[in-house]
Amino acid sequence: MNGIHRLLEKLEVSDQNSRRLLRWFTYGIYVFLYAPIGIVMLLSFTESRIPSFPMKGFTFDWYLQILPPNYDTQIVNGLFTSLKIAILSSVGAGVFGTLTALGMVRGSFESRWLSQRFLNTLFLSPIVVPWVVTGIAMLTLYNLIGIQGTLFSVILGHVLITMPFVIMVVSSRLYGFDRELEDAAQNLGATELRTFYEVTLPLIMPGIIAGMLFAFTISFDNFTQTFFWVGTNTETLPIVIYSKIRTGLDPTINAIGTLVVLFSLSIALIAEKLSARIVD
Amino acid sequence: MSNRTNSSETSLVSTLTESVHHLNQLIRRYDNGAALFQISTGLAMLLMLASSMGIIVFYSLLNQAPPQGAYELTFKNYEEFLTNGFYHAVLWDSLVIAVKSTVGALLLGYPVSYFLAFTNSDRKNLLLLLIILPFWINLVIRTYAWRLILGNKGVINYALVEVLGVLNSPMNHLFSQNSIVLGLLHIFLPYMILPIYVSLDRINQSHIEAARNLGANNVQAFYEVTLPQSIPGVAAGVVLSFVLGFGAFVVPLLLGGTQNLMIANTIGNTFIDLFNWSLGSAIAICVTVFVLTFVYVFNSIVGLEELYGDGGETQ
Repeated sequence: MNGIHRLLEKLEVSDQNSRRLLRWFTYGIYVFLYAPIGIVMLLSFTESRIPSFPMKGFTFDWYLQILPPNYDTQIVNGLFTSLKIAILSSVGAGVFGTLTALGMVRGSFESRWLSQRFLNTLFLSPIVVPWVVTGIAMLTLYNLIGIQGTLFSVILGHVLITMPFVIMVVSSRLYGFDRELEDAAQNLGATELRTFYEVTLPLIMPGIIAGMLFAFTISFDNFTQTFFWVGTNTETLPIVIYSKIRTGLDPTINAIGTLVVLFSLSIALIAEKLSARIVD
Repeated sequence: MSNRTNSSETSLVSTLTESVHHLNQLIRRYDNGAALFQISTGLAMLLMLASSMGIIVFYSLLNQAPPQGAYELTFKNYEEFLTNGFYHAVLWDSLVIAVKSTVGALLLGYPVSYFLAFTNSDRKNLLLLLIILPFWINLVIRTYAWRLILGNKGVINYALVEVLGVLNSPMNHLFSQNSIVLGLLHIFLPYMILPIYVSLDRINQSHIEAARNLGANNVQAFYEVTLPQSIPGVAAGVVLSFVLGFGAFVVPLLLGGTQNLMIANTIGNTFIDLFNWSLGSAIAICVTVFVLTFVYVFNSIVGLEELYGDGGETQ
């Protein structure tokens, strides 16, 4: 122990220099974090058929491939499938996740197996299972009950994947909830349902919406699990993008990629702003 | 509104009011029953996942899955997985890649967390937001981006060949173990930076001042005061990164080429390409058991709940 102390004594670094070094290092990491996506966005405007460095020319051609009149059907179908699945999954996860969070936070169960702490861990456990295992396990279940490859099976799977996140967000909102507000409403004569509808629900609504937006993004962007659940007619957008990548470098990928990223980021930003109000 | 209300309207309204009244009574009487009903949706989801896991446990013990008619239980799939050198190699590779990318993310991420925790900048919230946002960028696109950077016509080769003249012809950086590590560590940085930031943010600054007052230089103060208190955050980041790294699927698929597949890809291939659901199930069970054991052991040593106990502030 003393040896380390003596060594550290000699490692005096001036405050100012270390601060400056740290700051530049941090900015460097930020650049590292965002540079790859930046390059995708940049090269989506290249004129050459194969996106390479340095970039030659500037064109919107590749973006036009996604819009009518001569759009790529595979991409557009994938987009609509992904949107359908994401909307239905986020609504499902939102409703069931909120219900579960309500029961979990407010239920005063006496059994040890239904204690709040245990339930908390239990409902978040699907996150710990490796993605590929969730993918293949649910595949066997779907195969057994005959819904393998259907749109419904993908939606069901996405609800499974996203519900823990909704539960996490809504329950954290509920933990901070002042129940005296509900007591006050009931003292004034409101019934249980009316209290819930007019007092509780509006106050936890930002959390519910944030949770649903997170669920939407997770579902829309999901690849690993979905890879095992799609059939020939239920290709989602990430699956389509993946098959395009497999066939070779193609600037259309950069264009779709840019749009997908901007889309997900805007949804995520709204969700973050909504859930940030929880902290306040 | 007209004063004339016809009888069917009145009876609809009264039925509704009556049912609401009954519902209220029910809720009042079965207060915990209501809660049970509410969590039943969550329990149903868990049941679905649990039964799917049960199915693959069953399949892993079969000769052929799904079973056609008569079947017998056998351990041959586990034997195959645990004895075949091919799987040993893939497991070892996956372990090495997971460790390298976790360590890399830790070394690169810790200073960033330190900066964020101790900076007085008024842009702190923006900087934190910028760390969170990459979580929500599509994984496939993020990984594909690395192909643009590392590929033959990519940024790095452009810099090395054309700009700096270090190389005469483009070198293949892609499709190696290190390209997978790079892709993974890029993804793990936010997972590492955030928990460590939360830990560091909680440290009482007066402790550090006290150490300095007692004669420590800033390196000693860091080692004695700051570092130990950041361990919970480091642990959380390490567990997350390691688990995600070991089970990585997309990154090796896009950046690894055919020679560098990881265990998750092997499971996928065994299921989809080889149609061997029994063997694939066995491998999947082994991987899951390993991951769960790892998390459990880590948790009992380091106690991740310390970090989790504040109920997910940022998310």
